[in-house]
Amino acid sequence: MGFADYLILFSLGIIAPLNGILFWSSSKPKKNIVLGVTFPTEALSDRAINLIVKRFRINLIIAEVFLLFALLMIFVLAEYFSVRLTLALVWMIAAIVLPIFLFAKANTELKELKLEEGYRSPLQNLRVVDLKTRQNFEKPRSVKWFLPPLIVSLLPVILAKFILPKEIVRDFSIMCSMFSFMIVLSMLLYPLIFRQRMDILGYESEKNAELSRIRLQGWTTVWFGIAWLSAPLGLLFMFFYKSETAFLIILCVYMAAMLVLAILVEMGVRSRQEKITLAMGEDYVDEDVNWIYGLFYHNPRDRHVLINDRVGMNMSVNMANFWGKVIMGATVLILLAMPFFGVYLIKQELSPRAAGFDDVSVSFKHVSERFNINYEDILKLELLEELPRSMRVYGTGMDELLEGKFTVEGIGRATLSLNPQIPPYIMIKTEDKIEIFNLMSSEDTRGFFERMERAYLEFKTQSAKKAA
Amino acid sequence: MCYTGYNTSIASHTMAERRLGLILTIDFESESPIYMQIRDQIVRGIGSGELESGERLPSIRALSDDIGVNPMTVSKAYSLLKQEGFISSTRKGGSVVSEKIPEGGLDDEKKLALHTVASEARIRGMGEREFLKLCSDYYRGGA
Repeated sequence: MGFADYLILFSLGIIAPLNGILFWSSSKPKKNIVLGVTFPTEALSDRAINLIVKRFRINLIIAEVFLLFALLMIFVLAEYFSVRLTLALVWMIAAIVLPIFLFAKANTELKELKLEEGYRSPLQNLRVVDLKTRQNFEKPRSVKWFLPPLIVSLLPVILAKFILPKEIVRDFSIMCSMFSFMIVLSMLLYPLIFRQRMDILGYESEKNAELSRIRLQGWTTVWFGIAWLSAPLGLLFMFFYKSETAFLIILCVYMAAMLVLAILVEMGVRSRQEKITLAMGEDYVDEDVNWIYGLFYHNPRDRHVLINDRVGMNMSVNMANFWGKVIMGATVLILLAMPFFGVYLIKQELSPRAAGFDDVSVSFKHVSERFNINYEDILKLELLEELPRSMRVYGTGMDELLEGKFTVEGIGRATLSLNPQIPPYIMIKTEDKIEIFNLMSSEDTRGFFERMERAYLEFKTQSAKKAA
Repeated sequence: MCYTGYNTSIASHTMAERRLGLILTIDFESESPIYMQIRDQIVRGIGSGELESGERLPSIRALSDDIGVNPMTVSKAYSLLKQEGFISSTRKGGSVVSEKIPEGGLDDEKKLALHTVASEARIRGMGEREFLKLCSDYYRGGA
């Protein structure tokens, strides 16, 4: 297993415990809601309810342990990287769906129990608004506070021209602009959270206000956190641009920091919600009817697309709204499409790279990467014994396959289709493009280059004679 | 504890409103239009003293965001309240509870509505004293 394997194993593997923690947390009452079902405070000690909750927790632990074991097996048993990746993507869907299924099952059981026992709040199915909390609602901080991180993120774009090699300045600037874009996005989205609905428990205005404040503080921390985490990335990449390992480590630390930030804030909000709502009055807000399986919001009378989750600070989409359906549909489609991307990678990794030539041209083919170059267009033909340092612009980067557009040190922007483990590499340069490729073994590549070079030189000689 | 005593949404709704304070409860299933529910509850809030004269009301956009309805619905409720003199506009475009609410008792329509309620109470066997006590409680702004 290579570095990329460990990276995928870790980044996907973390889904199972994180999902487990979040779903486990939902089984502890917050705002009198247990596994998406609202009960009166007195009912929370009901034996039947606790039995369902206990069963859910046991099933959740079994499911998460099984999922982690399955992921490990994928990486131990599957031989090819692309096969491992494809199976890991299928695993990811299972890791998302399985806890949802368990949650939905427990939610249905609790809803039935609630109906049987006749638990009902006077505020059931009513939309409750606390005018006092709304009047004193916190105002968002000025967006000018996003300017310092934005300026820091833009610094490397300016400095790159003076510090970095010419051929990578363009791609580097585009990459840095992505981080600036993240900050601008945070700046634009931040005020919108203040337009979301307040948290409402019931008639206790102070608790309503406190819960709303906790959510807003959480989101403020997240958006400013994202901005400040993204700000120095460009500068760090600029100082370590020569080391691909440093690049990957910085990127991993950045992603991990974002994840840790999101989880810490989410768990902090949940914990505070739990403490504030330990004892609630008889009149508590109950909107269970709008939450399918306690997870999916569906309210045709609500014009909002994005809805605050009742527990934690996340958001859901209103599936009764057209745009809500579009967002949910697109998310599901993307998730389901991911394994197909893996299948494409399998084809890329396992298909042989084939090249051919005749008296006037040379051609190459590998899955979707193909070209046909006439000898008369070739400016330079060279056999590279070593592949210079390459930075991917877009395409595939696996241990045994580099394919797509890359910025190659000392050469510039080039299209690669090669196995970096088996040098040499053939470089063909024309006026408008540079192709670098190799075949399935060093001998094949070397033999092909020698034969093709002869044909090419012959063509040149003939052309020169004709011209004379 | 079971809440089997709350059998109808009307009963529970009435109880919720009696404790109103500054809490609005909107029933999307009710036959009463949403703008009227907003208007009625703000009037009750003023009557009970929970909303004091000069007190600021949420903006139309904020309130419509909270209820999840079109801003036009809230705007209609606010317009009605302004027309009736219960609230007024500020220079900055906000709305506040009026300092001087026009006096003059109930108009004919309201009297007729009260007449209907009193008749219904009598038909349903509510004693006069009990009915007057209820009216008195509401009049004084209590629950």
